Amino acid sequence: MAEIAQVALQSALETWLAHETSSAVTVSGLAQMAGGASQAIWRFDLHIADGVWRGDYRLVARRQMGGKIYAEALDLAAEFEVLRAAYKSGVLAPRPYWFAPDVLGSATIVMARLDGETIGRRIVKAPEFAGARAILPEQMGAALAAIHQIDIEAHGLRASVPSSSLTPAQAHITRLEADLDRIGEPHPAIELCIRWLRHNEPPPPKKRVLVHGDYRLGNMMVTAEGLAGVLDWEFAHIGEAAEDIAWGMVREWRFGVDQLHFSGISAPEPFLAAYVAHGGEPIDVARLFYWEVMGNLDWAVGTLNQADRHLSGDAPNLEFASLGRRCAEIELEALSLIATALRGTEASHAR
Amino acid sequence: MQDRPNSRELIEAVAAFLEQEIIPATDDARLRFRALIAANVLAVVGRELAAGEAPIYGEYERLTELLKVPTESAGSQSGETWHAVIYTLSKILCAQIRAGDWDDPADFERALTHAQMTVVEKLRVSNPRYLKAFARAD
Repeated sequence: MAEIAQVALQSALETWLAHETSSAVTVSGLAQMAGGASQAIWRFDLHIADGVWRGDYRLVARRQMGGKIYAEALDLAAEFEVLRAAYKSGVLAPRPYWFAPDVLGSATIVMARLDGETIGRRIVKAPEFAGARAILPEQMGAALAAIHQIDIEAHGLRASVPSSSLTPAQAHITRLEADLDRIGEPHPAIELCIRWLRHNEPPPPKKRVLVHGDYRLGNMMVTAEGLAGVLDWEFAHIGEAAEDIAWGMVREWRFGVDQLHFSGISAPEPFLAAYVAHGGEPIDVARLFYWEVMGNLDWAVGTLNQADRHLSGDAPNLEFASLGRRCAEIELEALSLIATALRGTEASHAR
Repeated sequence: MQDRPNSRELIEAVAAFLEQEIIPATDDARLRFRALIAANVLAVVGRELAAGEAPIYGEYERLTELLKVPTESAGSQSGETWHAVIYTLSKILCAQIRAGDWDDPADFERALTHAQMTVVEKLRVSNPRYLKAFARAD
């Protein structure tokens, strides 16, 4: 069965891409890569015989399979628009080539295939990434500044990505509460943190920007030379720059190297300095802290959402199931952060 | 009463099987990752069985104190009933927190202390190593 599906896909890709490029094309080396629950990812090489596209390309095809995991995630058509805007704006990202709403029954994006590592735990620890770790904070700061300067109107993104009439903080809180209500499990720790978020919201941002929405080490393609490209744009939306800046500070995204506050690879300063040096608005400590708390809450509720996908029978899966028992780790961190803010000391009860 | 091995011993045997026989025998990275998760999940269940009902009763007592409802003695209910009671009381506490009933700083502090203790109790079962690393980092 698998082979038949692969032969059919190869033939469908060749027909489609021949049409896109007005040339004879050859697809080779087609193979499925580890993908998400809602997308299948295939790698392949493409030879284009003639015309303006003539040449050889190393590519991936991302295909929408079934429903989206998260209601707020972009569909592939919108993700293609965002990726194209980012690439055209000079953001370090894989070049998007073509999109079709129906290739053998599924929406499909074809984009450049980047080589490297995306497993956070390896990037923060493996010796071969020591050089990369030294320059990644600056590279990630520069790339994020470029993302936040993408011209939303010029690229017509307002229609394709979500935005909210609420402040970005209130939009997050509203979604967190809705998720908790839908899942139905009592989590006093999360409710208390949400209360803290409601009472400590910083002034609304002066400007709303295109937010990547999942800007952390696990979504960076990294080689020994550092950042090769920013991946996974499906959570892009219009919001506040601080959402992206603080997300990499969240303990979970330090991948076990807890003492290095930014992504387990450095102190925040080199990342923040590069962000500002490349045109990003400076962020004050209080706003950064606020969004770090928010990030923890997003991830805490994220684990509950994943466990719920298992429990509801939506996507029965041991990994999702196990995440339900990881929520307490993130709750401990979030409680500790707000206790520090409230008591002005480290949380003694956490010990 | 069931014969030995008891439930804890059986869980340990399955975890050892995964760790010593399945994980070393596979070069499929994804399968290996899932087998590691499976072994870890069994370890969590083993610790939960070993911990017994004591932490659950502690959580119940704290909730009755916070919510000012009468406390029943530890032996009066089965474990399963305690779970249902704690669930209901926690739901009430959550609704009150969201309604702003615990916003007064002294009240908030009491609820926060309860939440921290509850989370620490959960982590003693689900991830004691994380708990230790967390205390060190602070």
